[in-house]
Amino acid sequence: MTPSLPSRRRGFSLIEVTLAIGILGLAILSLVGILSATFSQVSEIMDTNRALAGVTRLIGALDNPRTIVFIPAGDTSSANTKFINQSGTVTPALDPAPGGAPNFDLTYRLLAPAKTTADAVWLYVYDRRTVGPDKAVVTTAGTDRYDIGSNPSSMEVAVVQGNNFTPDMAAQRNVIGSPMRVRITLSKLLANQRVTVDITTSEPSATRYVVGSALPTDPSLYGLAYLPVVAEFFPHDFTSPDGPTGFKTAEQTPLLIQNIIINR
Amino acid sequence: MSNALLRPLRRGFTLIELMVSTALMVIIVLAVVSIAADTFKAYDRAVADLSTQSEARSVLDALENDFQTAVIRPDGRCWMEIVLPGSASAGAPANVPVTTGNLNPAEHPIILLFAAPQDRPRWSPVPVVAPAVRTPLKGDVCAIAYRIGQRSPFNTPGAGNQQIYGVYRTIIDSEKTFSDALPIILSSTAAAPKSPWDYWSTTTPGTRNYGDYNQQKYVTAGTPLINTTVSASSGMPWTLDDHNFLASNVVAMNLVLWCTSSLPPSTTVVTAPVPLTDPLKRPSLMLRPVLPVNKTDIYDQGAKFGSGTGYRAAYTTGTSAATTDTAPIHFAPTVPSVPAVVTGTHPYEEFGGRLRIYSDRIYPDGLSSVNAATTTQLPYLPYSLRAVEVSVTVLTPEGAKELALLQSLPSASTSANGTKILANDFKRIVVQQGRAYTRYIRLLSNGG
Repeated sequence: MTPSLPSRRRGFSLIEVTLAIGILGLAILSLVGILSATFSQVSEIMDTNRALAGVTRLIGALDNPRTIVFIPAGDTSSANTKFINQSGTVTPALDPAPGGAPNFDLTYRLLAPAKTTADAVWLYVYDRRTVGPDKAVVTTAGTDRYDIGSNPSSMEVAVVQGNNFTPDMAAQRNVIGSPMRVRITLSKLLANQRVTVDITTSEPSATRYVVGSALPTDPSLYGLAYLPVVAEFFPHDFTSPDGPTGFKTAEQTPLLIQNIIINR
Repeated sequence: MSNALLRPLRRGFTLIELMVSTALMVIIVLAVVSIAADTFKAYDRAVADLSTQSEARSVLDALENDFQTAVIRPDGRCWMEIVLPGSASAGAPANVPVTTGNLNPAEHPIILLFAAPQDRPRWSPVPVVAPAVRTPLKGDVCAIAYRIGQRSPFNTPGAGNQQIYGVYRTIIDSEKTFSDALPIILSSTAAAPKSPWDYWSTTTPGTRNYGDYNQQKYVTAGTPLINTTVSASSGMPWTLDDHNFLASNVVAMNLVLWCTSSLPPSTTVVTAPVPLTDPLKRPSLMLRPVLPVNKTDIYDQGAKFGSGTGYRAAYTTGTSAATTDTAPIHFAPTVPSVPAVVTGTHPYEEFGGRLRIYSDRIYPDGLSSVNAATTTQLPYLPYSLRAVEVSVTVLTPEGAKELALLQSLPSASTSANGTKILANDFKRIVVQQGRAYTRYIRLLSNGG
């Protein structure tokens, strides 16, 4: 018997090795993908909690609208910031001369136009450091330095002209994390309510409110003791409000939806 | 037959194949390591966010619960008080505790109030002697105190290398509040004003039995509810008992008190009481902030009026330019013009010692209705407290670890028991590892 020829076993080809490594890489990447999904959920939880804290602040701000700040379009300096009751901010003026209108009137004038999603009023709610980090860590005297150990934060509600809250604006105001963008529209609770006061009788007129229609411009002609609105919270990703990809028309799922009743 | 002929003929990898596969492997390993590093970073951040948020939430939830149910009766008496530890001002209350660790006075105020929170004690503690029967408690108003303390969580609270900052909330049950605390408040008169501090700071608690809810391990009879610091394993104030522990690693609890004034603004200080005007001429119908400042730094009230420095809580309708740095609490274009101080004290919106809160007025520091500095000034702020904005700063686990390490180093300690580290180290840790959480809480009982 002649010895059989040794069998020829070839090694892995380059393609096989590449494929194997590719599959391994895919497996690792998918694992990392799962992890990143977990982290994005953590981030979402943080955002939702921030939105929950923002609800209380927003309600407080709508009850006291003179605490809402107004940021001009394209502003790059916080020096131009005013409050929305001041002249030269929201038009038409929320607190027309001689001024001193009740708080409800200001809020009403601000929110009454928000009859549909397209007409919604956008507000921004955010946490901000009291001063910039460079002002908070100095221990010696200075004209504009603050010996604040922890540099505490406070919450602010803002109206931005043109609704475009830019990263520059956020930096100017020492904003922590991502601000919340709040879309406010009139609530459907207004449906079939007699919302208009008849100026001849000073009684609510018989006409009933149809969802999507306009409310009286003058708060004194508004017939209810409260204004119900819906606030939808979105994380603000600094996208533009207008255009085909703008957030005004984009389909988004809000982090939080809150019904708010503003009392006279 | 040669063995070599039986050996199977196997071709090895070529050099090129080895090099290519090694290069691919290196690229993939590098990518995976980079992704893993990012993942660990994200993991650390997620852990820091979640743990600090959890601590902050327990504090803010409790504060929200208590402020929303706070009792502020319009009866001309003081129902709420905020005292700054370490205060050296003329208006500081008696027996004020010293500051805690590295904290500034304004960053760990002692909050004293009466409230009816849902989590108040509903039953009496079980007596240690027979019959061991507990009974339902009557009433709902409880005396409550918040403070940031520093102590070891273990058997020896004063142990030097285990000092942890924490928020402590002490709640006195409704019956003890009724029998011990409320009589002090209700006996207040204009001639002899009383405030919650008179209850919490007294050194003669008599037969009070406020420690019945646990074993009173470190609380000794006759110790006031709030006194100085934890210095040993005994004589600790009840407010720092572990029974009252709420959250750890909290290194600041900053307050902004939002108030309204029923008085019109004025351009000059006018003679009180008629006509009464807002001495700080804020625009009417606007919430105004009142906040604590540090008496120990250069920005106290003494320097405020002269140099224009200070924590400016500004609201104005002016239009000239300024920045958030000169009006940091809430931005205003110009710093408000404060009426000239005639002599002595003046009701300002900042305080460095104590703040006594009534339903319709607020007394900062040492001002009182019977002690006005001049007859031309209002001796108090004509404000009603509507909301409190609380910001707590919590250290991440990493930051807490670094702080504990520095506290345990003998060379870094600037005081006994390892309670302090060098000021700049502390500030760096807080700036880098502190997470701030804010909540705006409305005082429902006072029209907030």
